[in-house]
Amino acid sequence: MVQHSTWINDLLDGELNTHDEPSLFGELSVNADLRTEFKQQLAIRSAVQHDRMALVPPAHLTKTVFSGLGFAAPMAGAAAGTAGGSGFIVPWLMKLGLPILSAAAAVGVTMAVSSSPDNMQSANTRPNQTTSSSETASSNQTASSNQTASSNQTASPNQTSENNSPSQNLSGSGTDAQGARTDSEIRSTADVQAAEAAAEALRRENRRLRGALANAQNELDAANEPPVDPSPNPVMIPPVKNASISKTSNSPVTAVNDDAQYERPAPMGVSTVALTNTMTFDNTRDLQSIETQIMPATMVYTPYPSFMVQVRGFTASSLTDVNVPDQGNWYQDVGIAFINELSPNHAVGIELGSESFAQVFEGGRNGQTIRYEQRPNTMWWGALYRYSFGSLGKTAFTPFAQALAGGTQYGPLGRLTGGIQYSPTGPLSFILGFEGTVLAYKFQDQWFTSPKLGMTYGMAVRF
Amino acid sequence: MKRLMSEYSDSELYALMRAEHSEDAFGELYARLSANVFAYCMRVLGSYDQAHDIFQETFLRLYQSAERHAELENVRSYTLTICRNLCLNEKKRSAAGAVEFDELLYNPGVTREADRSEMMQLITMAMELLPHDMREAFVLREYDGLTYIEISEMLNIKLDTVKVRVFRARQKIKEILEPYLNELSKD
Repeated sequence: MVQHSTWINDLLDGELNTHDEPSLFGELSVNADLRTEFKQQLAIRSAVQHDRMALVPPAHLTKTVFSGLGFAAPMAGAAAGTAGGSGFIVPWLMKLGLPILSAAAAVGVTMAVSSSPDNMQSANTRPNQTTSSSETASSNQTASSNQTASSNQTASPNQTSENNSPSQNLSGSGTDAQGARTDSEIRSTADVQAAEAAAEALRRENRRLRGALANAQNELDAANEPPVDPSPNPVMIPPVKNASISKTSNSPVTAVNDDAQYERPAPMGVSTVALTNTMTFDNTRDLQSIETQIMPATMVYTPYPSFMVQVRGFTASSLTDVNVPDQGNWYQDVGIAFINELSPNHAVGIELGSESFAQVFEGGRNGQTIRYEQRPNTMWWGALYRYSFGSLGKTAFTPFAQALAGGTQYGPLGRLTGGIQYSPTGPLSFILGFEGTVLAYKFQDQWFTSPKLGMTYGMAVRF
Repeated sequence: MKRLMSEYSDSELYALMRAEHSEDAFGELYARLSANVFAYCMRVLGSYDQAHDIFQETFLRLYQSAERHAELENVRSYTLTICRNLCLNEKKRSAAGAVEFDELLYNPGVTREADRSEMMQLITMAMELLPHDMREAFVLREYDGLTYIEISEMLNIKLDTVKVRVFRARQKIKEILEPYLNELSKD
């Protein structure tokens, strides 16, 4: 019996001689007590194995060991069974705290940049957002019309007023915006078409103004019979912008146009009014400014393909729980991309960056299953494709989706990003978005993954 | 592609720790050996607090030992030898009137989930009843996975002596647990 027990012991140790195996198995088939002993040994062995698997140093003990050696960040630890039980929501929110704060900071920076005085001026000069310029023009226009109506000198002042109104708005916007607007602001086809339409409207208005002025002169001639011979040397009054009306006694009526100036003797009993139709001159200037603005805009409308450098940060929460801290670097969680915009919608490029990935994997060593936990910081690089969906209305916000395929020293990496790009003015733009990342790595011929979810924020410069 | 720390052998990691004071190498060695050392401390000492103290001291000395050894063939045996010597010293120090039995280990309400298993509790208690030499050989064999040769080298005893100790430890545990095991077999 002792011999059989020894054989069982050797069998469990894997050291039973092959020539003893038939004897043991034969005895087991006929000896119930030996089978019982064998089952008991197996039960003990199984319980010991379970006990051994459960005996792992707790996390606080691991931290104590590493801190005792002056290591602030242990790189790995056998920490099976030491995961915290503090719930799911609170740790998840704690992980997202930093991303949310970072995103808020990015939005704040964007708002600060976009609300700076230069950008405010640029925004105010846009046609649809004109405020002060159009108000100034309107007030001038109103004064001019009223004065003309009270003097009864002009046949159709209201017509003039109505005709001038659209040109006033365009005048203010076009003239002021000539220097402020940039190529990027009028890059869209809609802007160019709108400017062309405005130019055509100015041309039509100019023709109407000339006709109205001729009618007014005819009526004046009819009302002041006999006509007075015109002065052989009419006084040329230089066009003065926004100087609309001046009333003088016994002075001739003076009408100034872009292509004709007249000096007429004042009729008897009618106060003379110096009428300066400055709108015509402004319209001419506006027309020129719009035209000069349209042409370069059309000619420089070749931004694609364009080159862009983008720097961004990202803060992501790993979906893999580990009990070891990051192996942090000062350049962690940042990326730089070199993007070639092929068209308004499509862009390709390369991107590289650095971030940490939580890794949990198991492997066998010396007959034991070892669970590894680590969070190494690694460089990654890859090729990206970005699709932009176009501006949201007439705003400077452009949603985009991006996919990146690359690799790290540990294995391949994939990343999907969805966000919005804000281009307030000039070559600068800002991005804010969400992204998901998966790192795949291999250990002992077995593949593992490390997924992450988080936010990204950054800025880009177009060249 | 950079070589992963997990791909180094124990000896290579020990050499890295010596040459570069590599924290990563120590971390990897810790990941590999901590379970063995902890199991040994817990099952040989039987005291939670003592086991923690010895566990910390073991890895501290392992790291410091790298200054003295150019190379080491069997890092695991060496580490367990450090642990064993510390345990022997601790047992000698606490021999006079010290109570090795730690209630924390056997209180299902406060210990690990694994200890809730009645079978495992009984085995742990049975091991407490074993003589120290048997218990030590049994722990090194069953918990730390050392071969008989490694145990004989570590304990500096004959190979057959190791086998006998492990065999007797198993038989003793089986005898202690026989009533319970019989109940289990009936169920």
